[in-house]
Amino acid sequence: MSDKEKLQQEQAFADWLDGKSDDYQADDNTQWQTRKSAAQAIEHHVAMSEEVPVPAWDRAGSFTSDKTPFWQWQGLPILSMACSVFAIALVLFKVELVIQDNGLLLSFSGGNAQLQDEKFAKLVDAKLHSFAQEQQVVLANYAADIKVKQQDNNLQLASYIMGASRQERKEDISDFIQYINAQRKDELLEQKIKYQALEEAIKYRKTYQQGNVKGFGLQQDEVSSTPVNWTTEE
Amino acid sequence: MFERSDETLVKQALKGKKSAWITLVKRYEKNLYNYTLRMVSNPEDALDLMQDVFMAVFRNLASFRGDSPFKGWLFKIAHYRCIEFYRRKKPTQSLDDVPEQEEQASDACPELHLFSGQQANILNIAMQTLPVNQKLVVELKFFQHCTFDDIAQQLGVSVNTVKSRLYSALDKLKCHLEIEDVR
Repeated sequence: MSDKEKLQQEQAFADWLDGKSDDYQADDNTQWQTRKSAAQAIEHHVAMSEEVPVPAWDRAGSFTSDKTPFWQWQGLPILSMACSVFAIALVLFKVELVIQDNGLLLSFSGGNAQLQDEKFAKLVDAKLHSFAQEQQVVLANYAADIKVKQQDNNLQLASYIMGASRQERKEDISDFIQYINAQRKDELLEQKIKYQALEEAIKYRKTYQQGNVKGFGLQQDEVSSTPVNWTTEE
Repeated sequence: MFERSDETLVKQALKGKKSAWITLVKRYEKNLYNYTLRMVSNPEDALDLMQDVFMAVFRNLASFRGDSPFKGWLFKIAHYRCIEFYRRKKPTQSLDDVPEQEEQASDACPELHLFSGQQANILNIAMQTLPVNQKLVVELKFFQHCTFDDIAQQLGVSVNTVKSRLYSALDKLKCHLEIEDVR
């Protein structure tokens, strides 16, 4: 058998083993026929064999995850130590962090307290100053109001006084006028009485002289006499 | 029911999901255990070897790119681990040498008796007479149903070398199988 035929035989056998050909005819070649028989015997045993069940074993034991939980992170102790040192440093250096409207204020060694005191003092001064100004304005307004009210009161009082005095004067004058009028009435009445008396006297005298009647109540010289005590009657 | 693919289970196991890894292990442990059992012929060693393979697979899981099937990648690692097992067990013996028979040890192990009592005992006993390299080729060819190209790729040798090893194995097994059949 030539080498080419041997190669062909071997290739045909390999193709049969790989399942590329359905059957392999080994002809008279005992070697390939023997191998084919062995392969068929093995396949028969494999087909008849049963798989052995797996004994119990720790399947999870082969699972060794590299992803450790965060609480088992190796840097955690170092991080905690660093945080502790940082916290101690904050306490020792009296670090204060103040959040303000216009930003953050970081101060050391109580510097913030002084700044805060100064700031509070300035703030109190400013508040007091503004309060004083406000009070001055309030007082000025109050004084102006008082002044205006006082002027009004004075004006009202003056008007009242003037009115009252005018009324009083008017009443006084009215009384006086009434008195004068009463006096005049009395005088007129007295004058009338006197005139009547005089007239009577004159009439009497005339009559007396005509009848020579003398001294009817009045002397000749006493004709000019006036009513007695007229002032006391008033 | 819907079954997750190997690639999906590998990704989930890489993310730390233990259940995915256990599912993957359960999917292939029987094939792998029977493979190791045929290779080492000792249930205890086979179990140790299987665990060793799974641990090696898990350690190298991140390097699995999914270009080839997971099963092929798993058994490729298993082959290397199996060769390492033999080299560790008998450092002075070549992988092409015929191993010494350990009949006493087989007799001492009742589990192996159970294993040997099954239908495949004749073939398995015959395979113990083969060198490791030939045993690997027979395993891949007849139990894993790989082609010569696949075997050559998995073992990292040429196709002609694979064929040579297989033909030598067939010649030896024929004798043993005929003897066993005669018995």
